[in-house]
Amino acid sequence: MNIFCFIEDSSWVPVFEHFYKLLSGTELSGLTLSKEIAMEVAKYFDKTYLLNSTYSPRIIMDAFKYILSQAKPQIALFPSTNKGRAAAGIYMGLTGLPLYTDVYSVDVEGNKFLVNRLVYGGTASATISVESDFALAVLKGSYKEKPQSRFGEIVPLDIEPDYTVQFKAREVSGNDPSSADIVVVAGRGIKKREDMKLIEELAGLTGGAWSVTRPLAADYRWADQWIGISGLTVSPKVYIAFGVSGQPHHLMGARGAKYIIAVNTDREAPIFEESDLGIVGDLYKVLPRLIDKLKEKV
Amino acid sequence: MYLEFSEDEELFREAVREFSKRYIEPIWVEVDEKGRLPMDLIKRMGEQGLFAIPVSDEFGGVGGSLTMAAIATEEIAYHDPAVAIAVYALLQNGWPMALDQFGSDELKSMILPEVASGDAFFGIASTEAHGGSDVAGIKTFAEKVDGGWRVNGEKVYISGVREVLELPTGGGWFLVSKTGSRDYGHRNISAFALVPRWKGDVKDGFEPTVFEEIGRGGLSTGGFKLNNFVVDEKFLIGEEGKGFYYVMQGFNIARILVSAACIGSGRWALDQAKEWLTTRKLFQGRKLSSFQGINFKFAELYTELEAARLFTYRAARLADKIYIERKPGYKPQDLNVPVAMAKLKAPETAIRIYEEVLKWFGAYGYTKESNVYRGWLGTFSYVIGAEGGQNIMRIIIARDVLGKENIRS
Amino acid sequence: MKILVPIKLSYDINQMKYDERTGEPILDAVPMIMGDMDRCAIEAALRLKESLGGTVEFLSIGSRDTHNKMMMDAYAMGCDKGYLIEVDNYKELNAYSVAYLISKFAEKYGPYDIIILGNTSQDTHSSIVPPAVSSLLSYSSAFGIDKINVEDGEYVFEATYEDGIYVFKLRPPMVISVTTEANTPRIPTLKDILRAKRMKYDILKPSDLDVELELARVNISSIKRFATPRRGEMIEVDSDEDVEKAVDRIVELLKEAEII
Repeated sequence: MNIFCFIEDSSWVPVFEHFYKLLSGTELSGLTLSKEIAMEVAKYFDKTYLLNSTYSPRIIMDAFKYILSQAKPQIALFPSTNKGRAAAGIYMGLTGLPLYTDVYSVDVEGNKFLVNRLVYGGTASATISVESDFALAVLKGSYKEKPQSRFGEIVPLDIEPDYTVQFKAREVSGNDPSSADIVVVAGRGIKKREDMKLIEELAGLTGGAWSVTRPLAADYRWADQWIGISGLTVSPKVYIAFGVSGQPHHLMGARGAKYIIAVNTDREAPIFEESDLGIVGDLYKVLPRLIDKLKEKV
Repeated sequence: MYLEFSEDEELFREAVREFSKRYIEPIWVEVDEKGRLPMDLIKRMGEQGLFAIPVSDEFGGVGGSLTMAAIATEEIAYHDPAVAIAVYALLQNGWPMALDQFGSDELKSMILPEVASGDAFFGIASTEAHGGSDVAGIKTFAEKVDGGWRVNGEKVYISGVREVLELPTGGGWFLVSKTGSRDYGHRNISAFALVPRWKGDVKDGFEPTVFEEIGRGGLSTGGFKLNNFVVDEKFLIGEEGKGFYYVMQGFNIARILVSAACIGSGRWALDQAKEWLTTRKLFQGRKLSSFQGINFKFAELYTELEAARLFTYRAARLADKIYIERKPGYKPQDLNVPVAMAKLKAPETAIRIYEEVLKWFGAYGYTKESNVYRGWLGTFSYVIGAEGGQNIMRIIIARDVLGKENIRS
Repeated sequence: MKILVPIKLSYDINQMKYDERTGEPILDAVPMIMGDMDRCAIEAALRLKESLGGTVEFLSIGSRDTHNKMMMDAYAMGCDKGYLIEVDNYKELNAYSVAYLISKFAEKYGPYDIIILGNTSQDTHSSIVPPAVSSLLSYSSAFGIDKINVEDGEYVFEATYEDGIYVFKLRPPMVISVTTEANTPRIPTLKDILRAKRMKYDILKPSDLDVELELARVNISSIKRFATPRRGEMIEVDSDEDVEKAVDRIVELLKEAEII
C-alpha cells in the first residue's frame, strides 16, 4: 500500500506511523508546508513534498493536483483537524475516493478494512467496511510507537505561495492543551475572569495546561481557543473540569482523556455521566483547597 | 378529533421555541423575582410577530389563527413557567382578536397595529369589586353625552395597568359597562375600547392603582377608578347593548389561550420531574422513578396533561372555524362547552402536576433555588378565577348537558 | 450576485436515543432538523444579499416527504428559490456523491458567485463536503469561517484553527463554509412562515444533472453507542469534611495517573 499523508505538524508523525503499520503500508509520502517541519519529518518518510507557504485551500489544491499527477497513492491520511479536514475534502473532490473523518481505529479483516469512526457528536461509533483506495482523517490519540527511520528525500514543489492569506499564530505561552498530560478546564461555573488564575495555578502546579469551554472563549473572550468539536480535541491522561456542564459538543473534544474528573454544583450536569470522579459541590471550595494541598506536597 | 399539526404550525412552534430559548428562558426567574416585564422584551416579541397573531393583516395583525396563538402561548409558558410573559402574550392575542371581530374599522386601524408591534397594550377590564364572575351585575355606568359617553365606576384585578402607563404608545382595555339603565342583567351592557393613554399623557378621570400579587411576577395587576372619564363615541365596540355578548366570546377566546399557558407550564414541570426522578437515586441506588407510587402518579399526570392539551387545541381549531375561516354552520355558542372543558381541565391539571412535582423534589422543591414554586404560584391564578372561575366552567357544561331548566336552583 | 446555499437534513444529536441493551441508535425516534451551521450559512447568504443585492438560492438532497418542512424553513428565513434533488435512501449517500451532485447542480443552474455551506453537519460533522465542492468546481475557497467582511469587492474571511487565526481574501466565484460563530441566525416570524407555505421549490433527479455514474453509498456494517468505560465515582460535597474527602480523592487519582 502506497500511503500519502498531509502532515500538519510533526506531532502527527507517530499517528500516521501507527496507521501506516495497521494498513500494511509499503511506501510513505507526505506533504508539509514548512521547511522546518519537512526537515524534521523527512527522517521518517520515504518522500516529503515541501511547499513553503502559509496554509490556504488554494495552495493545498495546487499541491495535490501536482502530487496526484506524479503518483496515485492508494490510501491518503489526514489529521482530523480544521486544516486536515479541509485538505481531505479537497483531496476527495480531486480523486473521487471515499473519505471518512474522525477515525480512531481500523480493523483488518481479510482484504477489507473496517474503519471505526465517531458520529453523532461523538456519542456513537460507526464501523464502515472499505477496500483499497480510500482516504481517512484520523483522530490524534496517543500513539507511542517510535517511527521507523526512513530518511527519504525532500521534494520542493514549484508552486507559487499564497500571498493573500494572513496568519496570526496563537501566542506561544507554553500552554498547550493538545500535548499536556493534564488539562484543567474552566466552564461557565467560573464566575469572574480573575478566577481563571485559580485554573492556571492548578495547571502550573500539576505541570499541565489549561483551557476553557466555548462560551468562555467565544462569548467572554477569556481565551482564544476552547475544547470541543469547534475547537480543540485533547487526549491527556487527566482532564479535570471545574464548572463545566458537559454539552455534547464540548465532550466530543475531551473523550480521549484517560481519566475525567468533574466538579460542578449541578448534580444533573451531563459531564458526570462520563466522569471517573464526579464531585457535586462548589468549585470555589474544592479548587482552592486542592491547590493548597498540592502546594503542601511540593 | 385526532390532534395533528400542519408543517407550518410545527415550524412556527420551533420558531417560538428558539425565540423563547434565546430571549425568555435566560430571564424568566429574574422577571418573576423583580416583578417587571422588560420593555425591550415586549418590543422584541412584537417584532417577532408574537402579538395579534389571530388578527387580520389588514389591521396590522399577523393573519394567523387562534391555534397558532395557542402554540405560541404554550411554548412561551414552557420557557416562562411562572407565566407572566406567557400571559402578557396571550392577552395581546385574545383581546386584540376580540376587537378585530367586533370593533369598527376606524377603531381597529387605530389600536391593533400598535398592539401588534408591542408599542401598546390592549387587555380586558370586566371585573369589579363585587365579583368577577357576575358580569351582569357590574356597576360601571356610561352615560350618553354629546359625541360620546361619560363613564363612572371602578374595575379591579385588571392586567396591564402599569404597562398602559409605561409602553411607548400606551393602550387600554376592552371595557364592559352598563349603558342605558343600571339594572341587573346583560341586555344593558355595552363594550368600549377604554384608552386612557395614547401617545401622550394619561387622560383625565382615570385613576389607576397597582396591586402586589403572590405569583406571576412581571405582568402588573391593578385597578382603576373612572371618574367622569369621557369616551369618544368612536370607541364604542360594535352595537350598544351587545357588550355582554361580545365579552363572553372574548372570554372564550382568552380561555383557550389561558389553557395553553397552563399546559406549557405544566409540561415544563413534568420535564423537570422526569429529569429528577430518572437520575436521583435512593435506598441503595434505586432510581426514584422505579417506585410505582411515583411512576404511576407520573403516568396519570402525563395522561391528564395530554387530555388538557387535546381539549385546548380542539377548542382552538373550532374557534378558527368560527372566527377565522368563518365556515358556514359554525356558531360562536358552539364554542362554549369545548372551551369550558379546556379551561376546567388545563389549570387544574397544571396545579396537580406542580403539587406532586414539589413533593417529588422533597426539601429541594421547598427551597427558592428549585424555582418550581414559581410555576405553581403563577398557574394558580387560573384556578382562582382569572378569565372565569372554575365553577363558571362547570355551570356552562352542566347547563348544556343537563339543560338550562334542570339546573336552576 | 447569485448565492447558493446547500443544506442538509440531519439528525438532532442533542436528542439521540440508544437501545439500552444493544447500544444501537434508535434513529426513527430522533428528530431530523436543519443543522445549526446550515442555518448560519443561510443567514450569512441573506446578509450578503441585503448589503450587496442579488438572490439567495438553496439546495438539498433527499425526499419530498422528509424535506418539505426544512425547505419551507429556508424560504421562511428569506431565501428566494429552492431546489430539491430527489434521491432514494439519501441518508446512505457518501460525502463524495453529495459534493458531486452539488457541483453538477452549480454547473447547470449557475454560475453562482458564492456557494456557502455550513462548516459541518449536525450528525456526521466531517467538514469535507464544502472543500470537495470547491475542488470539483475549481473555485477559490475558505472553510470554518467565523467572520465575514466585504471591502471593495474583496471578501475577507477570518477563521480560527488549532494553531491560530487565518485571514483569507478572496474574490468570486468561491465556495466557503461558516461556523456558528459567524452570526446568529434570524428566527422566522409567523408571517414569514405563512408566506413560505405558499412557495414552491423545484424538484429534480440526478439524471436531470447529467449524473450518469452510480452514486456511491456508505457501507456501514455497524453503528453503536460509543462510550469509554468510566468509573462513575461520585462525591457529594456539603461540609468542609466533604471538601477534604473530595480533594483527597482527586489527589489519589492524580497519583494513579502519574501526574504527581
